[in-house]
Amino acid sequence: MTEHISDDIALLIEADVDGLITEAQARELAQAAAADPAIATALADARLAEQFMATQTDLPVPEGFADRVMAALPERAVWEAAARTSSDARHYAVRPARPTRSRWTLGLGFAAIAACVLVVVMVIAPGTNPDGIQATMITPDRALTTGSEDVSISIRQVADEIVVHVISGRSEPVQLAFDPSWTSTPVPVEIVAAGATDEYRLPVRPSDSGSLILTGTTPDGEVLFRNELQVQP
Amino acid sequence: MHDDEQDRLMVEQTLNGDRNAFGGLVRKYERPVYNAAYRILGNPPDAEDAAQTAFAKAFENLGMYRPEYRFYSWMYRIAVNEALNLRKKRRPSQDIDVVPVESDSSPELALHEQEQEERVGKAMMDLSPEDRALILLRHYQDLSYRDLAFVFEVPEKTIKSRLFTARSRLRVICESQQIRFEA
Repeated sequence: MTEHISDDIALLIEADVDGLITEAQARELAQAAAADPAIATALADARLAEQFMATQTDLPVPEGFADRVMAALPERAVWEAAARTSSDARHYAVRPARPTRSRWTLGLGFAAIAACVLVVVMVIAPGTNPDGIQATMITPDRALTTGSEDVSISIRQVADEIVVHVISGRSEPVQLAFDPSWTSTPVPVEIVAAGATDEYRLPVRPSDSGSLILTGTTPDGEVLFRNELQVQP
Repeated sequence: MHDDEQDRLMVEQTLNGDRNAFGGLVRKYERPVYNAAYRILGNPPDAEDAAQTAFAKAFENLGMYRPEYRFYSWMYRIAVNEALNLRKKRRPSQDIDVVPVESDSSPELALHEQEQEERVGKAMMDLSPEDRALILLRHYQDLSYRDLAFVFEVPEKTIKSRLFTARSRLRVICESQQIRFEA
């Protein structure tokens, strides 16, 4: 049907719903609609869609949203490194979602999502990090930023998952290991490619209480960072 | 200063190392980005998650922003992709949350408006996420064919075709649910 409608008429339809149509254009559109049922239908559908969306009201943004966004942003040095590594790319394109969630779920043998779970994530053991980066306590409405000089880690607790966002400014891969104390099932090690940005999700249940050790190492086994998170329902 | 010029200036300042400038962009666009994510995902927690990740990705990839396009189109592109990706990871059926509507009109009219908004919100969720995103950005955020083509990374001709089809599907849903609007 749309192939049948000329681009000029299509633009008039958009101008009509935007309320930006002139009287002359409105007459032209009305004549076209009278002469062609396909145009009349397309015009009616466009007006319906406009009325449809006009009934919707904006939701207020959650309080402190912008502050949380800013707190979760990587440190400047890392961001600059990430920008440099990506500067040759033609344009931004969002990477397809990785199947990390199902892999995690299978790997850990966890049951599916436990709704209405409140998990308090607390970072302990500052000083275990060889780079001297101190961990800080996080709650569901805050994000923890850690890592090394050229690897930025942002950890958030979102509903029933711990979300680990990694930006690597390194020229070699980084091995990311998760060691939760509440299960003896080993979690597959993740490899963050050189200069890559990636995200990993670890499902947690109310019973998943204990410590979670997050370790980043180079291919040579050098520990870049190591953090211990305390997870409590 | 024009909005677009102001955005480009804030992008430039951010690229020069001023994190606060990016904070200005976040505060300026947090509402439309969060609401776009909410309309696609249908629930506030996921919308917040998607919006926050979208801003983080925008920050990380700011060097790739092309100034010939409006910043908000680029931001929508990231947010819509993020919301659609998150949608794929989540369970397919989630009810849209009901939001109280403030109105100066009579209680009866206010109730009618609220009911209509709820019914439309539910009908909206019957559309595919892609159709929903397209109608949302065209009719709620008023993006042009050109901007939509940039957001969805397809030619304008394809946008025209997809938009007409999405509206046609919307009409069928409205008819099936007996949703009518005042002329």
